[in-house]
Amino acid sequence: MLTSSLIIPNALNLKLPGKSRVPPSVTQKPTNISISSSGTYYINGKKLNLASLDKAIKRIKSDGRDVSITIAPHPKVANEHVVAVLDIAFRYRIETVLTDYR
Amino acid sequence: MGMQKRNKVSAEFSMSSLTDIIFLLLIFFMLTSSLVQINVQLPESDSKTIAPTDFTVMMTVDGKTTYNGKIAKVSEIKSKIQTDFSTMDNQKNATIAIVAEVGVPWQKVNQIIEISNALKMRAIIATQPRN
Repeated sequence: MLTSSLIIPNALNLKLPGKSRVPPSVTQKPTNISISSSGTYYINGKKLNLASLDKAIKRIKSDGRDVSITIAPHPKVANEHVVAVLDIAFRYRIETVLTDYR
Repeated sequence: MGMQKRNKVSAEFSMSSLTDIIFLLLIFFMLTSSLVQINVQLPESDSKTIAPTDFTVMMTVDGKTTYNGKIAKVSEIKSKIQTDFSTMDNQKNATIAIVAEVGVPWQKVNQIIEISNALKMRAIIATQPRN
């Protein structure tokens, strides 16, 4: 009764840098994924749709072990696009860093 | 004399009515708790993590923001979270749940993430399972 309202049934856990004492280890240059205000995904400047993005991230994961990606969403983009990328990264267990849109 | 006098008062009582009331209460609370629904579309995710939360910030496309169920302005939320955080017991595992409706701009979510980061709290983004 009491705890049902306190539990969010489905959630994405965000690993925030302020929380951990160990800074995230980045051995290789992270792949940058930027999201434009309309929700279009770009990897290193190349335009992709969500399915290709999924495949590309999967390929990144198979490349190395200490991989990380940076996600740079436009501040006005609808949040579900960012969550979609976070979800893919979560599924493939890739470390993500949220950065500012350039 | 046919009947013997019974001086003993029976000390037992039947529990059946008590259990009836308990079940009624249980069903009542189950129904009312399910009525407090988040009737908004959340971004979809495969994540099945069930996460307990301490603070809930909900944002809808019409621009309304609620903090723990009560309408609040975004500028007030930071100080509210700070106050509640400083008075809570289990600060190490403090978690903010960000419930953002589909269509809410990312910068609003980012604002809450930054508040959470500054206070060294965990943040989770509420999602719904894919159809």
